[in-house]
Amino acid sequence: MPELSRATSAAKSFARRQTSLVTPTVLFAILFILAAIRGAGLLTANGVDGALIGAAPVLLATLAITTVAIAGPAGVDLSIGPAMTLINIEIVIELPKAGITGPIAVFACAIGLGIALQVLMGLIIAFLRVSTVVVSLALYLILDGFNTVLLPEPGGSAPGWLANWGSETRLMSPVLYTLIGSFVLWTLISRTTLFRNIRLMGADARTAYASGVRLIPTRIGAHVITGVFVGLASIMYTGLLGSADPTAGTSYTLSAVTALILGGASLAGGRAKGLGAVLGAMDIWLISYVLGTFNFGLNASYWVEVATGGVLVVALLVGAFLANEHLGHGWAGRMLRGNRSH
Amino acid sequence: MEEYLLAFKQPASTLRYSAVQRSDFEPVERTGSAVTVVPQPVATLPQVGTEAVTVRDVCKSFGATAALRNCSFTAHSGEIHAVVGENGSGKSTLAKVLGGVLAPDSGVVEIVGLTPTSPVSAQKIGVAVVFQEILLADNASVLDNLYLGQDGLFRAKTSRRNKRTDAAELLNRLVGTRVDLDQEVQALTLNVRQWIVIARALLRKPKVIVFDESTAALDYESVERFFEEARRLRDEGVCVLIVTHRISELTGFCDRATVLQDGTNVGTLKGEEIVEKRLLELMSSKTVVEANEEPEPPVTGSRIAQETSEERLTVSGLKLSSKARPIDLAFRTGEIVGLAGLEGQGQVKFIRAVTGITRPASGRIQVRRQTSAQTIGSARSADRAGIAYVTGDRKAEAVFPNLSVLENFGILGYRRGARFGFINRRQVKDTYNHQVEDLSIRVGRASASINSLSGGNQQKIVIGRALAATPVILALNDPTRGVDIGAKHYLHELLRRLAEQGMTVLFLSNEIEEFIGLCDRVVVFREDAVFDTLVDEQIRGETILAAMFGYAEQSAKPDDPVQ
Amino acid sequence: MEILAKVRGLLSEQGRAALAGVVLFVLVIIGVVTVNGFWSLVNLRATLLIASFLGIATIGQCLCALVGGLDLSIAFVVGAANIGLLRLVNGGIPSGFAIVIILLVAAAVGGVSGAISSHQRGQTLVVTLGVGTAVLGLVQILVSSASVSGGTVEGTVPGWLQGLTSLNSPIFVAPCVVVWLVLAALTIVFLRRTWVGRGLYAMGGNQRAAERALVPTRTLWVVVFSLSAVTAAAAGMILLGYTGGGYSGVGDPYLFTTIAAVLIGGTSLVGGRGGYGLTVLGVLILTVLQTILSGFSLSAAAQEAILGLLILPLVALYVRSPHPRMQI
Repeated sequence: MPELSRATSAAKSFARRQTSLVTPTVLFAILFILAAIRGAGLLTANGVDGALIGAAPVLLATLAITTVAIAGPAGVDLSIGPAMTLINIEIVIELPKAGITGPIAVFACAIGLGIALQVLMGLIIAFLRVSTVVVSLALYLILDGFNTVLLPEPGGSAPGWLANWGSETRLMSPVLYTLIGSFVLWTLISRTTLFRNIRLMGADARTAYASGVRLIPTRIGAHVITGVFVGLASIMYTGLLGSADPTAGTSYTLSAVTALILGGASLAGGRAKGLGAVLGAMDIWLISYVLGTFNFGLNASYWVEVATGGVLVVALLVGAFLANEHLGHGWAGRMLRGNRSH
Repeated sequence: MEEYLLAFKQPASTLRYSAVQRSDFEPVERTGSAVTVVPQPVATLPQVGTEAVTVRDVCKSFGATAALRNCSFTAHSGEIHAVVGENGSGKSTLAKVLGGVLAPDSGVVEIVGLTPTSPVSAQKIGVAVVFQEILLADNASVLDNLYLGQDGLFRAKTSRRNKRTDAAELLNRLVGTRVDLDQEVQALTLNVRQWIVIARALLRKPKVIVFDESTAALDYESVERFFEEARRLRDEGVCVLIVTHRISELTGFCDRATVLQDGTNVGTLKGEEIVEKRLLELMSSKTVVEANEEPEPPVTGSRIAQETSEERLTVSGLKLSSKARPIDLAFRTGEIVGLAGLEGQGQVKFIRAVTGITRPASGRIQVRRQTSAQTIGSARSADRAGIAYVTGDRKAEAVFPNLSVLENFGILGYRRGARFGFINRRQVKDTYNHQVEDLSIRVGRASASINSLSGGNQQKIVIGRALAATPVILALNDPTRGVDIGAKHYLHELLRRLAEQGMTVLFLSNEIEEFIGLCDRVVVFREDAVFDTLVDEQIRGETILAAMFGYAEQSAKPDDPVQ
Repeated sequence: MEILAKVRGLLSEQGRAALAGVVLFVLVIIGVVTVNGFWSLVNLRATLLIASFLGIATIGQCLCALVGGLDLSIAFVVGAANIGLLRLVNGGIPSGFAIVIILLVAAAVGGVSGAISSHQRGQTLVVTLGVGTAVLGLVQILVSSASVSGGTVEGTVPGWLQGLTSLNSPIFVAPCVVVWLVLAALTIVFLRRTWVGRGLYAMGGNQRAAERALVPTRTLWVVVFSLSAVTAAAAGMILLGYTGGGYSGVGDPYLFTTIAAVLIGGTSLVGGRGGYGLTVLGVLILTVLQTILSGFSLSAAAQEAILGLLILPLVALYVRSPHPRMQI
């Protein structure tokens, strides 16, 4: 039956292509079990709610930088943390000064600002052909400094409808709605031809160019998509924080990048997946949750650092082993790749 | 002629292919299989015979190198037009200019009256170029690669289902077997990969199609199908440009052939004028002078007679892959041994194993000098044993674009000649000057960037640095790639001279003609093992080719069925 | 056409040195004109001292950039060495021993980073980030006592270490500056005249060709990252003498300033071009710039923003990739 064999071979090649998701999924399973053992409260409605709220900003931040990572080359966007902080300050302090506090207006401004920042970066990267990591490094410094100049001390309070997202107790909260909306948006976007072209451009820019893909619009498009999610992540972050803080958001850079790698993304371009980003972000959150259940006292944050760094390195090693990029001809890699020889 | 007209009387949906030549030649008939064809609406193609491609006085330079010099040439729709020339003649640059990838510095390029300024505009105009380098996105599927660049910004131009049907029909026909459209291309063989980029161009239904060295990566049967496809396109009114340096393929196939040399058009041949002899004459019309300027390396006496030569390199029980047959070979001093084979049949693996670059599955490689025997296990041990490696793929494996000519030369010997870690600059400079003189390398300042040298001279630097280590064995992997005809001859003479002085030379090449007159024997590889060894009079084009396909010299029957 | 040729000329080794030299000169002029007391012995010595900290920490970053990598763990190693040394010394271990121990541990940590990233060059940034974060966290845990968090460590800093960074030394500059100059000279000679140094350039230019040229690329990669951690640790320990107390965040500024200094000097992050001499110029430019900005009473935050604005045009000059059309 040709249809059946075609279906099975399609399924097999699909499964083979998901090797990058093995690491974050396995990690998620391990961490989830650990978390459930250590803190049974996680499995209650309250616990899930708290988990959602705590993990939501990182989730959206990671999803945001995924597109740029796909677009390649060296697609690490270091500016995500300060960008979220800037939009946070805008939402809490600056926009209310101009009378903008309603939900639709705030969403629009946040997303608009996110897009503006990203497109600025995108134009430099596209026209000057400079790698993303270096431009985002410059933008990180500019924004981080600017944020502190704009708001030297934490303060202010978020608009009413946003202010108590962090203290929500019902499951069906705005947090959940925003998350679901973001996921739906991502799924829709990832099915467009633009997204496919972004992936192809990230995988091999010169092939894309020679085949007629317009590199500059595609790259700007990638940054627009990223900008949208940067705006959404900033709104979520502001909702949780309830106020404005000039420096607290910068840690999201490290968290999001780590989550991205944990999610199986290759910084070379063309490989990252949205599902991987989500899993990676949840892994990051679970690490701090699990570690929080131990009583480390003063050293709690240090243990999180150790664990995050350690897991990151291990995840990279495992990913390399599975993809057989260099570490010999591992049996696991062969199994997954169907025994093709180089 | 009648058969030719008959073909068009058939209904468009099913065509029996009769690839009949134009009336100028003796009719050669070849029939393909009945296939379904997506009919090309004739109205969109320019009338057969009109000028489709106009190139007028085009110049293109890269830094100091001029790739195209006042190049002018025209091609018509409904013809197969070959663009011929040696490496460095500018033909690939011309292809890139036609495809909109490169903009000419001056001059006019027109395709059906319009100028391509980018790959996007070129496609809108109706040009498709299959570049020399096989451009595929490795972790994308075959289907995605086939339609790469065709979709608009947000929506696809054709539905996915239609894409599949069209792609499947075309690709399966071209490749000859069914290709899974969803698998990632990186798992496929070179032959299929080449077909995919060709199919990608065909799916665009272009008015002008340019093939840059597209037959190089195709296997033997595929080349035949390629020619059929080219004829079919020609018959439909497409202007087919075939850029190649393999002139033997062209006889009896193309309608016209333009010869490029040093970036200019030195002449166009028509119809039955297209024979190897005339093409060669045109191709070397300029370099005859240059070749005469290349000094002949001094020929010192005759070859070391077989009796006085000794065994230098022994290979015992070498398995290049776990399932391959073991290889036992011995190489003597003063020998030039050719290594041949179809793509991926083990000759490259062999040379890499001998030079220690990769480790074979099992076996032993030994170098004998006077009394001692050294086993090769790594590139360093090979170097210490006296094996030197020269590669033709300079850009990938040999040249450092960020370093000067002198440093590119010296880097191989720095560690060897270092004193307490410090480079022995005097020694490096002396050796450099010696080799530059010996090999007649045309170079300005030693401190200039390596990029200021021509391809041939860069290759000489690579060879010179290998020779500076005074090896006893020289292993060359396709060394004449991208090198002009004068430098190629010089290299052959150099190898002869080195062999006379006692060096053992292993010479891997993809051009069968190079072995003739140069090698004492030719070892042909199949399936990662030695298939046959040809000596003396056996070294002819046909016999080597036959061996590559599995027809051993000793027996008349093929060794294993040719797939 | 001539503009392009001029720009390309700029990108040669001499061109970059000239450009960096001109920028430094211009900055000094600006400093003299705009900041009171800029052109004074006191300021000169202070500037050189601050520059020496960054300079020593940047040696490793320069080497990493030459082979085409980047070390994001420098900041963390600086902090870890800083608090680690004080803890060891306060724990009774003689300072000489303690220094050696810290340097060896740093070498090992860098070696681990190098070993892991040598298999996946593209992930070097992330590997070093991960290793650095983990190491600093670990050291902070080890260093903290029951009541005091590992972030700050109280204790007595050995006198001679403080003397190293003292501006009241009998010679013209602080001894630390001399240490930097010696290390700089050694590094420059190493990069220009030894086979290992040239091997690094070869690796940065064409990895595979370097392997064919018998450059031990895998080993050298590990060595480079090991050296990077060692120089970062040295900077961290010297900083202990300067600040008089242990603080794990003392390395934070070095996360990006080392990269900035390498870039400003004109060493390409792509690999194979540049050198430490250029990086010294970059360090000086950065330090003078910071002095000028401080003279304008600009807060640290504002300075950070300006640094970012400065990096952009430099990046446009030195870290550009060729258009894909050139790679077909």
